Amino acid sequence: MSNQEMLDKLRDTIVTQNINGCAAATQEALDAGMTAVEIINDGLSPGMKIIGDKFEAAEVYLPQIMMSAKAMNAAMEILVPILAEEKGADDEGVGLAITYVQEGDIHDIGHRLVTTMLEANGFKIVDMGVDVPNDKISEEVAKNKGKKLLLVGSALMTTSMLGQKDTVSMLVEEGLRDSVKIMFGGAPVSDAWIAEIGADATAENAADAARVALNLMQ
Amino acid sequence: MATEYKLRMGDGKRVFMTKEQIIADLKEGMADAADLGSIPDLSEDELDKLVEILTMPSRMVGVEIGKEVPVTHDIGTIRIDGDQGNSGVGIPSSRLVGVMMHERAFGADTMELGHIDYSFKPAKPVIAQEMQTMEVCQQNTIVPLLYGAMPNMGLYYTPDGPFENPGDLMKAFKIDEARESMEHSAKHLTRDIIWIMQRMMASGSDGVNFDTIGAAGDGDMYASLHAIEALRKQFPDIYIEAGMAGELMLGMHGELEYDGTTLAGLWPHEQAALAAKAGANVFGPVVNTNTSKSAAWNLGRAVTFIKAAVKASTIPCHVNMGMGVGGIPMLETPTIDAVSRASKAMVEIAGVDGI
Repeated sequence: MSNQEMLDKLRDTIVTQNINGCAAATQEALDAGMTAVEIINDGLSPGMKIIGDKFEAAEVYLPQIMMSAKAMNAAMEILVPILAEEKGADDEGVGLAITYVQEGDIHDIGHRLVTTMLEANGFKIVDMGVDVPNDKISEEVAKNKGKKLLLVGSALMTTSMLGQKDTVSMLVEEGLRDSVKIMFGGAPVSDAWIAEIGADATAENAADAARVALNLMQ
Repeated sequence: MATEYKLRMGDGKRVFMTKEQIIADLKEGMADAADLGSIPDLSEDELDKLVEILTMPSRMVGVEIGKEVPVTHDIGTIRIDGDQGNSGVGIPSSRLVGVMMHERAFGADTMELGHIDYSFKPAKPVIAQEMQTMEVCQQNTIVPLLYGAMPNMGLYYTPDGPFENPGDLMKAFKIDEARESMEHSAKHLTRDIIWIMQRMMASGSDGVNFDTIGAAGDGDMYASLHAIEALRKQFPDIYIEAGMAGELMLGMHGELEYDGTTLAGLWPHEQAALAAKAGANVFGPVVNTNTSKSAAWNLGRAVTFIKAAVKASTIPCHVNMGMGVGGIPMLETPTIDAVSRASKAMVEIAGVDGI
């Protein structure tokens, strides 16, 4: 099998949500001499883009995109240790993502999905869970100051969304705003809201969130 | 200075727009529907008519003489005595009085009896009361009286029901288990709807109104269509209204099919064919209101979707018109200026058979 055929196979295992097949194809590509970066960038990521586009076009739905994310995760379990070897132990990868659901909100399906997608796309993850107060977020940002840092907050409700504004204000007041890129998501979050509160980005869905996050960290 | 017209935003807020702004929003809303549903745009004449309706100076408007359509009511029996928590007006009265008021005072063309919990599942333990009330209402009215309830498949998931909550399972990435839970719930929902309607038909009901099919996603629609099919077989003359919950059938399961068609992702014009195939007499299409957009944007979009549904449907379409649907703002008590304009547009442009 040629390298291109192997990459196509990797892509297709993501699109068809073939979890075991994705892990097997990843191992097969590694055994054939491909690098972890090639496998991710030229095989797995194009698959996630296809599934993301299909989700946006209402051709596939939440269960399918979660299965695709799970397939990507199965591959990343094999690839992450190899990536560390390829890049050296000190390499930060694409960055550290601190993910959480805003205080007063416990809706976490979207949060978990985005966290999974970010991890699958090479981010190291600190998952703070749900109902997280702003002072805890600020503490976590301060603890990781100096790293390539991405804050990813989620809020399903307009009431909890308002807390995102306080998050940004608190980071500004504590002199941490320039240390971190900030993404917010959730049903009520819009581009206008992101601009109003001084955050950096939002995304339409989990697949889009991974793309936006990677762009932000470049 | 250009003349400005009083319109509403999707959340009911009053806005002032020029004719040019109204036309631009109408076209944008129409294009959104046409793009999402892969359906035709409205014609220039239809857009002109929409502009005319939206810019009429009267506080409320009505359809032209001869274009009147039947008006079907849901939840009406409890709209009178319910409080604002369920869109009621808080006037103490029985459900019988509610039916009679709609029949004799408000001019309802069909009416329904609904329980305060308004879902099929909670009607089970009070079925004797529902049967008795239906019988008494039938003895006192001549209006076609249906039994109405929401399929509401979410009530079959924990903590309200016996099956593990697919939301909890999915966030743990137990996708297969989540789908199995939906499939089990759908079977029970179908069974319960049939069981309840067997008893309501024995009590003289003229039929059933499925209110908000698909509220819990494609599994909800799957269960409802199978219930419609079974009821049509058991009661050939039963009148069945299949009203939808939203414009797009959400793919919570993603792979459920009816008659070879995947339910997830269906738009109103695609849902209509399945409602007819299952055996419904009337299809109730829905288009959701975007609260951040103007009435012009929402109405342009809603009329484009509903016109396509009416064209595709082999059974009459009674469009859902109320708070947050059909181009009407999302208000507990929608304003008459918006309701009457949206309704006129649905009848005269989309060509609906009823409301």
